[in-house]
Amino acid sequence: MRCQWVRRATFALASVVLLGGAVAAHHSQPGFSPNTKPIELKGTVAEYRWRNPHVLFFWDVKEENGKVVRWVGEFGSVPSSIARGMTKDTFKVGEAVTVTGVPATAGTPAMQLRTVVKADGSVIGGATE
Amino acid sequence: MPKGMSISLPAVLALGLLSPAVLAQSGSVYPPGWLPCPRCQTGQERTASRKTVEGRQFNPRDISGIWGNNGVELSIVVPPFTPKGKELYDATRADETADGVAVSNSKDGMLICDPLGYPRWWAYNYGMQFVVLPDRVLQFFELGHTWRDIWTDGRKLPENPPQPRWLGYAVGRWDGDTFVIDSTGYDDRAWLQEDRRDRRWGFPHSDQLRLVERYRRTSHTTLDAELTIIDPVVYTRPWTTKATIQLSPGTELWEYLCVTSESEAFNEQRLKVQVGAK
Repeated sequence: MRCQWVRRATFALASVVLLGGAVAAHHSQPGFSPNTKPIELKGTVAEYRWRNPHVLFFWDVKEENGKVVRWVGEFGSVPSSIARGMTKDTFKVGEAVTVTGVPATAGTPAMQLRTVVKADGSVIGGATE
Repeated sequence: MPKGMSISLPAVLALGLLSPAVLAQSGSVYPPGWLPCPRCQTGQERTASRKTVEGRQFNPRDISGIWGNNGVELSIVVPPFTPKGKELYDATRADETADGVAVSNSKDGMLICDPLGYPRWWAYNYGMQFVVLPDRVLQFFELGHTWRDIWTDGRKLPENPPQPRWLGYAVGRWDGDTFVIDSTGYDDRAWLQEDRRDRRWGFPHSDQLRLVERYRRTSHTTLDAELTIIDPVVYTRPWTTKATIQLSPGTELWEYLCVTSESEAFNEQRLKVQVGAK
């Protein structure tokens, strides 16, 4: 029990540190609840759309029954993403990623991104400014 | 639904070690001779750029330069609405799905690339640039990649504007070392700003909106700004916002157009999916 609490607390702290430079999102973030526990999904990058208003990120996740589901999440605008160290070449289609974030309350394959970890261990932080 | 997993502790600890500054190794993004946009800079880059010009002499009557990187949020002290204003405000409320989830800013024209209008472009702009010409001051905005003309050639504001404008009609004059802008003739389809207290709503205005802006350069890198919104149809008293806007040296405005096809795709593939809208 204590271990679970530590994990949650540390994740919250890491999120604050990682997202500390972000200002409030301009677009609202409906459909996500702060009470929803973040999840982790492994998959492969399907599309990385380096465009405004916000950079969109699609990745395919293979479910236990073999079905492949395409998830969507977003980073900030292109300028904000550049300020966070991202470029138009940060992700390549087909590369393996581990994505953490809050899934949509509606049960749809949409996630409020926290982090995307690449196979080499580099961490890309989500943001919604 | 895929099986959700709790977050592994080593991964979390790794995240904790990575601040935005550590992640932001973005120096190679800009081709030689080209500069970052105001909002592309990291906090460290922004601070370093300002330090290179801080303390320089300045002409208080020259407000040219790129200012800020995201606009100035309107004061949270919102004046009370008139009955008509309350009616207009209520009409801005976002639609909801059958499950009661608000569909993000669904009444917000920004999501379908309507012009933000003014003063919304003052409140949200990714950086603005004043360019001083003999007969006018141009005010450029990265967001929307557009501009406003502030005429300084002595003309008066039109009493009966021939066409409501998203960016209104503006004239400027010097009051000592303060540049004062009076403007009117605004298109009432624009919002003053989304309601950042609860983004399901937006702050409306009428076609009777008048604005008074005052800018005073207090150092090479600082510009005191004051915006007063006067709209007796919607608000029972003037609404004033004050701020000091920082110069953004070492930057140049980039292109941030609102492209309708891109916004449509964004709305379909992100906003609607995440709220479960059909």
